[in-house]
Amino acid sequence: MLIEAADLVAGYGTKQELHGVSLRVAAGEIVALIGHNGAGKTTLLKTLFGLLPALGGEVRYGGRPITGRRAALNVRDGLSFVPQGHGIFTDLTVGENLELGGYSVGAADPDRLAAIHDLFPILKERQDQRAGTLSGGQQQMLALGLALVLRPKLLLLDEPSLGLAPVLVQRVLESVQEINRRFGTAVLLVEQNVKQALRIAGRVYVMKVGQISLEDRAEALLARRDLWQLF
Amino acid sequence: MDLFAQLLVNGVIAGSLYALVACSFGLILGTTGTFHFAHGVVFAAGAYGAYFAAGRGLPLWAAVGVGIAGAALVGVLIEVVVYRPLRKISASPLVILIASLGTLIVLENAIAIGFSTDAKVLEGFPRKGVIIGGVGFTTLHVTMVAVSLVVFLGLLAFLHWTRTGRAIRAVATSPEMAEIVGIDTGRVFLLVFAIGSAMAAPAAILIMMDRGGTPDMGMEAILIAAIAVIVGGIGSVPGAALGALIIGVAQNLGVMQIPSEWQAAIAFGVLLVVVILRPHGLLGKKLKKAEI
Repeated sequence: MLIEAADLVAGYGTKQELHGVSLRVAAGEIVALIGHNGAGKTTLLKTLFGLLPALGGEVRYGGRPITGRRAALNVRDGLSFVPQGHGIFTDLTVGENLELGGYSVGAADPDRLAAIHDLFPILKERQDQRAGTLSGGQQQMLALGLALVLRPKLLLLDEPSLGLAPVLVQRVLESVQEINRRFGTAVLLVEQNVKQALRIAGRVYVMKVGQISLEDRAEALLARRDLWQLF
Repeated sequence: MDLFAQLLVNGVIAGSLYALVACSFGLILGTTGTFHFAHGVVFAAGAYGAYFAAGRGLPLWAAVGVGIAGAALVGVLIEVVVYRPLRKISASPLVILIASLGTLIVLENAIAIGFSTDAKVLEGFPRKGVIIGGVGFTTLHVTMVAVSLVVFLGLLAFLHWTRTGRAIRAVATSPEMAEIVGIDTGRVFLLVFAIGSAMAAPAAILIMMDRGGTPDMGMEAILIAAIAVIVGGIGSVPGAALGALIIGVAQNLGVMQIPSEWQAAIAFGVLLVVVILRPHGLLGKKLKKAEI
């Protein structure tokens, strides 16, 4: 297993949001994490990445315990996180954003930057443009590009389609699939567009009030008629 | 006309000193979100550090170095001892602001106990008078403008062309995203306090050389700096410098019409006009998204 959480408990201050979550993601797979707002999906991603401290349970990455380890160390070890909304530095240029993607190892590798430009050519064209002035779709591409600079083994994606027009939602999710295919990056995807997320994922977890209520193959869940009653 | 030109030059000289304090205050505010009123006492610490070192027989250039290093140390200590523990317990911005004011008052009084409240003058700068086209100034005034310009351009170059500078701008834009890419925000905060404090010190030292300084010399400086930062647009270093220049020139040209004791009112007048007409400041951001 690439990452594994066992009985994870976490929250903000004294407010507990995760009540013993167990989940795993293998190398190279896309796993969807779905559930209503407030189910604890974002809290789970932030805890796995090290932005929030775990109050209980364990996180193992590559077989080694990383519970409570700082995000900066996890980044260097191949974990990457794209937060909800702006996963970019809006005041900096597109080029500066991508360079910062390699900050934790000194500098961004030119070959890897070239691969990102190949995947998202618009980022090369808009290299000197301030990131905050890009359209929503372009900002999301930049957020994905920024997360890919260190060629992570696991990408934690928090609602990459949030606020995007339907046509762009499809494009962004296709990009996620392309990243997985091209670089072999495993993806744990939190997404509100459930059907579209299930079409690109191999497995799925359904979250309800801070717990995993269901785990299944994405294909099987997609075929169920009572899909919307599950969460 | 001669009077106008003289007052304009005086305004640029005053504005350039204000700019040093405003840029440093704006850098700290824009990056850490801390309304660092205690920057006023860091400013004074720079001047008194240089005065103390010169009094112990150090040559002027070395005394200036001691003043700058001393200010940086005081700024960093305030971040570590006062602000960091408050942020750790998620203290509100108001609590941090009051703690900052308290620090300013306590340390200002500590300087007064150590050096008395009498004005101190830092001697030794080779000052010569110059008159060009009926406008008079001294070599010290030229130094003030030159130092301000060099520090301002140096800061801009550092922020835009170095890896650390980009990290500071990244933290200023989004502390959470900065952590996500592996930037140690705590370390960046420390660095910004050190740089900002070191930047303010030359202005204080030059003022002490020109007209002398007292322990409360930072109070007026920090008020003007705060106004300049808001006028220029919070988060913009060039904006802070522009705001400071406008205030310096407006205060000095205002003397043509109103008594000089109203100079502070002129600064607040500029603030009011800008806040009403352009609430995000002269160079503040107003983002407009492009189409895909």
